[in-house]
This record gives sequence, structure tokens and C-alpha cells, in this order.
Amino acid sequence: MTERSLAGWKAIARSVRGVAHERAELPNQDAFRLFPEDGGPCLIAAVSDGHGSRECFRSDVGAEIAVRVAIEALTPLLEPQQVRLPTLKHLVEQQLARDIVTRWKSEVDKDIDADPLPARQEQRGQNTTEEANHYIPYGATLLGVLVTGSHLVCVQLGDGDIVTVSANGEVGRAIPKDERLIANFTTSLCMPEATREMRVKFQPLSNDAPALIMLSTDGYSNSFVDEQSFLKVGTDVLAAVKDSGLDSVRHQLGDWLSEASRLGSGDDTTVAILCRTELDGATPAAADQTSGALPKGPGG
Amino acid sequence: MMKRPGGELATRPLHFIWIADCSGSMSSEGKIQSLNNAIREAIPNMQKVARENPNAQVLVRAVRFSTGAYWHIPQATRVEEFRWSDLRADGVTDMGQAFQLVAEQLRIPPMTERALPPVLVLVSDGQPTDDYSRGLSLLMEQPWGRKSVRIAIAIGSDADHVVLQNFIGNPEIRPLQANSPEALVSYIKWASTAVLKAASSPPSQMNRDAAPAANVPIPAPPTVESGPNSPADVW
Repeated sequence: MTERSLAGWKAIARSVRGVAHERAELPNQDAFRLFPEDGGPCLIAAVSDGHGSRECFRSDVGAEIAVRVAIEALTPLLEPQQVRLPTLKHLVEQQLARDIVTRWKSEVDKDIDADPLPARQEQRGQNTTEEANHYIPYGATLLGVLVTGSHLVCVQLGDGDIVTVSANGEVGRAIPKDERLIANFTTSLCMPEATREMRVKFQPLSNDAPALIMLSTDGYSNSFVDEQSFLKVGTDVLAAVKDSGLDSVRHQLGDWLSEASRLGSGDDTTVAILCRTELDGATPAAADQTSGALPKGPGG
Repeated sequence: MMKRPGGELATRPLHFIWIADCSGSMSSEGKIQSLNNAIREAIPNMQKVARENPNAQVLVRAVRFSTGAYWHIPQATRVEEFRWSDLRADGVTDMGQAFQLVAEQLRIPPMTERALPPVLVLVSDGQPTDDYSRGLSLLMEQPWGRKSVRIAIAIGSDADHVVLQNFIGNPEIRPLQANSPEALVSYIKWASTAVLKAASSPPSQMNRDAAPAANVPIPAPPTVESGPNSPADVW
């Protein structure tokens, strides 16, 4: 394999506590995880936003569990053995959501076994006509992306954004916005209908792979005056990566998120940025790069 | 240092709308003037809440209803600049038309998806004389109508609590009964401060299909002495 075909993806991520949470002396309820952390031919990123309400008093734990199980559920898809893409697509669309939710609930059950909920929370349900739902205290959203040389998988449950940027700067949403989710309402891993509500997208890749993918919790998008101002982040970050390198963006990312929270939503703000290695302005191979095509992966 | 990516940053708008009964009965026993005084007195407290929650841009306006409904203060005004002009009372009680006016402003646009839950405070001393349920339906057809925090204050014993409860639409929140100017001031202050503060920084809430619960955790209202033998009750 050539050095170029070994090129793949790098990622950075950062989470900052919202200024509103600082004022209220509440912890950061967001979580993120990257795998592998140093990047490579394939990459997984997961971001989660714990609800932080009074009834979701362990949602910071729920968010940590969410990103961990997302990585676990997506890892087998990095290098599917002898599975054709259409078959893989079918498996992902039919089973991935249930797998993630089941893993999440299982881990929450373990956490409760190790640290039981207060008796009053155990008996509380969503309302008097529903069964007690002991997952509510851990309620969290989930954004997940897996990218290889041959396919892209995106999952989303709840608010937040997965934005893609093409090599020529076109910005789009990997998963369309859920128009129901306004006024801080969100779908959640703790809901009985979580599997049904989780949206999954499988996209075979050839020469149309995104140049950059950004996952962010809603604290970030809610900090911009409008949709266009938020989506502009994608094109600007890609330009910064090309010009100054991903490592330079990493050094600035915390300040950018803090500023967004301070001047915008006030909420916890978490962003994960995945970019193709050959577009990193600080990578020697990028100097020889003449096209934006990704090398084919083992599944292609 | 690299330039921050993205466009303009902005705090999130929080629309606060007074919906005031200006029917003829409000002109008796000083009720309309008590309402005017209570709202005017609440302004500095609202401004204080806004300063303490700088990530919410509080925008205030008011609807009045009697014979027909009209925007009393039509422009969504930054609370820092908000001034109250007195209401006058005369006519019937077209509450449904008031709901319809509010519904029109809660459409997207002019509302945006990134706004905070609007706070609607209905104050009434009687029964609607129009088809209020039609106006309420129009309000609830709007996503921002459904997601708004709705508070109702009843002035005097003739207010229709069934109507007010239907407006609130949440069994966990009851209409507040104001039988005196002091009680009205207390409830107006609560609605414009404690409720405003809760809506300014709401935690995420699950999008349940089940019966609506409070989408914004509302603090308990103040306890006001009232009842058949209370010397304070004048309405």
C-alpha cells in the first residue's frame, strides 16, 4: 500500500462548560469520544449531551456511557469482513439503533446496580399512567459518525448537529434537522421509543467523501444568530485546517467554544471535527496533494 | 490567533407576552389600574432577571382584548427599553381573538427555531364572549404555541377557571386567583421574574408524546392570603 492509500482521517474534539452552568454551579453535561484517538484509515467520533434537568440528575453519566457504547457498537463496522456494502447497509439500518440503545441501557443498569438510585426516583415515571422509567435520570442525546475509505455511517438521537463539508466547501447536514425539537425539547436514549427515534444513515463513499465532518451539541448551533452563520463554521474550519493545520485548530478550539457559549447560548458546548488527513495543512503529504479523492478502504 | 469560525453569535430570544383582559368589568373596583400598576412595578424586576441571565434576550409586548383584540404594545421590545402604557377597560371579552393574535406571532417565521420557550401571561376577570376555544386551537397549532410557558391569573371571583386552565394546558400548573391588588402584584411579579428566570435557562426536556408536562420547570407561586373571610379580598 502507498503512503497515500494509508492516509485517512484525523480528529480533534473539545467540550467546554456553559457559562450558564458556571453561574448555576452545574457541571458540564456533555461528553465525547474519538476512536482511534490518533486517527487512521478509519475513524469513529461520538458526542452526547446530558439533559441536565432535575429529573435527569445523572445525565452526565448517561452522556459518558452513550459515547462509550456508540464506539463499541460502531467498531465492528470499521472493517467488516467479507460483507458487501449493500448487505452492510441493510444490517446497519436494521440493527445499529437497537444495538446502541440496548448497550446503553445495559450499562445504565450496571451503574444503578453499583450506585442505586434514591428510592423516590426509582418509583417516578414519566407520568402517573406510565411505568417507572429508571433510565430517565441518565437521559442524554447521541451523535455518532464512523468513516472509512468505503462508507460513512451517521447516527443521531436528539438535538445537536452533524455537518459535512465537501472538498470544494459545500456544507450540508448528514442527517436533516428534526423539526419537532425546539424550545429545548429533545428525543433521548432514556425514552421507551429511543430505538425507533434514533436516525441512522449509511452512505457508500467513492470520490464523494466529505473533506470534513463536524459533530456538535446544540449549545453550539444555538449560539449563532441563524442557520447560515452556524453552517459557515464548517467552511471556515476546513479553510483553517488547510491553511494552518489541524493542530492549530485544536489549540484554538476551546477559546472558540467558550466565546460561543459566552456570547450565545450559555449552554455546554462540544464539538468534534474529523478531517481527511491529506487536507491537513500541517501534514507533509498535504503539500503533494493534487486531488481530494479518498483512497479505497478494505470494504470498497 | 486564528479568526473564530462561523458567522455572528447571538443570545437566544425569549418572548414574553402579556395578554390582558380590558373588558368593561375590569373598570370596576380599580382592577384595570391595579393591573397597570402591577405590570409597571414588575419591569425593574424583569430587567434584573435579564441581567442575571444574559444569554437570554428578553423581548416584551402586550395584547389587550375587550371588544376585539389588539396589540397594545406590538413591537417585541428589549426588556431594558420596555415601558408600560396604561390599559383602559371597556367592552366585552374577546379572549379567543387575543389568542389568535398571539398565534400569528408564534409562527415560524417570525419566530426562529433557536428561541427559548415564550412566556404567555393571561390576566382575566371574567368569561370569554367569543369562541375562545377556536383561538386557543390556533395557538396550539403552532409549535411555539405548544412549547410556550402559559400562566393565567384570575382577577376576582367571576373569572372562568376552566377557560384559564384550558389555556394553561398543564395539570401541574393552576390558575392563580387574585382577589386583591396586593395579590395581583404578587402574582404578576412571580410570573415576570421566577417564571421568566426558569424560561431563560431551561434544561433539555424529552419530547414526549404523552400528556403534556411542564416543558420548563416552574417554581411554586407565592402563597397569598385569600378566602371568604380574608379582609384583604376586595374583588
